[in-house]
Amino acid sequence: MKSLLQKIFSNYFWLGIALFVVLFAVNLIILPNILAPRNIISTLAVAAPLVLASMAATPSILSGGVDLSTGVTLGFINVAIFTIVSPLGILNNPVLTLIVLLLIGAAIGAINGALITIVRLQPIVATLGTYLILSGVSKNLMPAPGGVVPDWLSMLGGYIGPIPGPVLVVAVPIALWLLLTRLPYYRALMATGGDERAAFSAGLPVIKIRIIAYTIGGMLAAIAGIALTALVNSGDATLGNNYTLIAIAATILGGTSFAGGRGGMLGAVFGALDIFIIQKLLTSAQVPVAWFQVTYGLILIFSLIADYTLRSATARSTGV
Amino acid sequence: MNQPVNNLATLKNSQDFVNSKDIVFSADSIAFAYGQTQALRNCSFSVSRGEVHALIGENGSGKSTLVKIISGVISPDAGHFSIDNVQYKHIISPWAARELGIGTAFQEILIVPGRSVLENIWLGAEQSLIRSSQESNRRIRAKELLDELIGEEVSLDIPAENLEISRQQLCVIARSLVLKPKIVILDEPTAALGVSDRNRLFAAIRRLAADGTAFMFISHRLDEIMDIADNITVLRAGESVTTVSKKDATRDSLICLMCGDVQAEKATIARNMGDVRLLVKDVQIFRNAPSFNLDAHAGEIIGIAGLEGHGQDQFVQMLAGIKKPLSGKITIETDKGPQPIKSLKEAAKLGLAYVPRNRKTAGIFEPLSIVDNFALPALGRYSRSLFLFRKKMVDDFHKYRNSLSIKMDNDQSKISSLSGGNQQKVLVARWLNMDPNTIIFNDPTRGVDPPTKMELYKTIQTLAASGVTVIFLSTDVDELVALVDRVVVFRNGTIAEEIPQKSLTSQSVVAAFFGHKSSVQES
Repeated sequence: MKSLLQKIFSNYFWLGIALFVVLFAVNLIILPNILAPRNIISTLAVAAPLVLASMAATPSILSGGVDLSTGVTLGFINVAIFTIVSPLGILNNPVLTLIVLLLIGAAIGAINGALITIVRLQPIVATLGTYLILSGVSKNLMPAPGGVVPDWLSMLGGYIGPIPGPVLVVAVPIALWLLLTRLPYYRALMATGGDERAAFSAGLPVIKIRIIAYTIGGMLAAIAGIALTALVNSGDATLGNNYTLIAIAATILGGTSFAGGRGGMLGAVFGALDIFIIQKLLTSAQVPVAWFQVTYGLILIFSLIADYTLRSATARSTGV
Repeated sequence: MNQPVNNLATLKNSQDFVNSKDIVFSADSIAFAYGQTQALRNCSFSVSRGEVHALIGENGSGKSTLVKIISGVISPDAGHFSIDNVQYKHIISPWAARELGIGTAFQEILIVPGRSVLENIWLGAEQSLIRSSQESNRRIRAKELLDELIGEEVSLDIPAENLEISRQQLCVIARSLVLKPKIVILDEPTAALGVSDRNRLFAAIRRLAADGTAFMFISHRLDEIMDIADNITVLRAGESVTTVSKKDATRDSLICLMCGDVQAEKATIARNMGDVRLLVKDVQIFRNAPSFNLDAHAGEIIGIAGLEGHGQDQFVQMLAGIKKPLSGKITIETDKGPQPIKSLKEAAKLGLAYVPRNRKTAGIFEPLSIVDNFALPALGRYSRSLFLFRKKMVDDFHKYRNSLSIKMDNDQSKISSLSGGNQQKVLVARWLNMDPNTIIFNDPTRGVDPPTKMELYKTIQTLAASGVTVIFLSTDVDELVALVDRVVVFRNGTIAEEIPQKSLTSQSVVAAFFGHKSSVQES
């Protein structure tokens, strides 16, 4: 009896999964046609930006910091497709476009990381700064929504040959991350987030490790921005702002500790799916949009309380 | 970059290495200042292959700063090192230090929470973020180290913070050894260790030294220094005063060197014992351990001892009201007859003060000033309606500052600007200010230098002479022998033996740890 409960609770994102199972079941009952092939792809396309955004928010939190600029990076990438990549005349070349956008995302992340580790600003302050800057720059670049998306990009919201675009967009980053967790970098990242002083004095290059974490976050945010563009098929400078806090909330709902060093990317995926399904259920129940955020907040707080209580209860009953 | 040490195996024992030709590390006129505070002025010493070189000094004498400089955590303002006859102005990072063959176990037990024992032992041992040595090789090396240091099977995959504190300390020591460095720095490596762990550690140090590894060993326990060191460098106020060979040193001579002209002497103050103050009746700590009784009188100093993890720590926490015994009663005598101790807060009201073990996490409020730290639990006394009478607070503090000789510049400075021993004194002053009738010390001299210890002993004896009951848990057997009226020794969760003053020797206490009746120490 010890082993089963403990095994469940020792997985950092057990609650994210449990919530997902329950919500998915409820969703199946209320909206049974969700699994129909046509619906599932469009549903996944809607979910992809949030899933990727919460993945993007994860590495910085694992490193012991936070990145408030994730959401606006999504928006900036969306705007950049029409105002930077398109004028360069490479928008019809998917590979070049992807490279440029990933570089932009990486650069934003690296700047955040440098501000935090070299200039030594607190993470929340540094990324609040980049949040405001990016948000303003996006609005200047694209004062009004618009723009036409090339075919290859809108295919990411549907099918690329036999492969569903949204699945590809999410699965590739997850696969790459899972590969990364096998590298010493991952151990170093978790150690730095867990206790930076211990990591530094043991000889880890903590500055490099933290800058890389923000850079990975920036690149994932760029992919999220691409998924967002594939979904909405146009440019809008205000789109990204919505993702700022909800992405962080999803990461935490997925079991990643805000203190750093505990958690992971798969948890963030489930946290984001949880929030996405809640949103879908509330929409179908015709709950006013104003109540959505109240619900997210309540679920976040109660699930953290539940996590803590159940964890310590099982720890006590098994005498650990 | 590391030289293999195996080819030195032709030499027979560590003494053969201790000659000037074999110098592997030397520090020359190292200086460092933290802002205004000159932590190191002029520090020079050298260490030979196979030598165990002890660094001793009062708190604030610069030992820990020196350790940080040699391990690349901070860069010195002046001076230079040489390692294998190559000169360095500074070591730019902890990683650079490891590459030069220096392994360090810092004073603080820097375990990364949430990461496994294996990862904690290998933490920082590999610089590449892309490539890593084989997991199986890392496991073998980690197991080899733990087998030697812990002596029993420990899972490499459990989170390191789930280990008891002594094992965490051994993990940190294993981390310093994992790359087979030629110079190992151990800063207070025995602070959390029991006797058997310490013996195993010393055996490992001797074995590695015989193979040519050089050790810098820092400890406040002079008996350990006299046991393990070949040579001893004494630091005072940031300067290296002298280096002596162990043959020429005695404890008294070392204490004299550490504190300059201040003579260290045992304080003894005549006192009388009064009525019973604390009564422990049929108390059971662990489920399978027998219950026990204890009474403590007014004006008595009772020592609590035992090997790490035998229940003595739990017991003093029960006395203080932090934990509850499984069964039995603990009462304190008051004007209204005996009162049970229900909680820490309740106990404080009944005149019982508790000075916790880990001052960093359990006593000190780092961001606050010295005076605020002193006055915190007594704020009610210094306030009327919403106003605080700071003057009275400051006056009271300076009364204790003088009697405890707390060394500081400004009472409004942050408490973190004080050395560890002085922080401890502020904590003691805090509780004395509450006019306690009973005071419980949980290993108060851990990491405190000998002169400060002497002052604390004097304070404790003065307290006892004024009728206060003192319960004194210590992991340092020598200080128990010097200070207390009787020692109760815990073994397997119960009081195994009570040693009255007349038969109190370090041998009798250590023998009681192991349940030996003879005075032979277990090795």
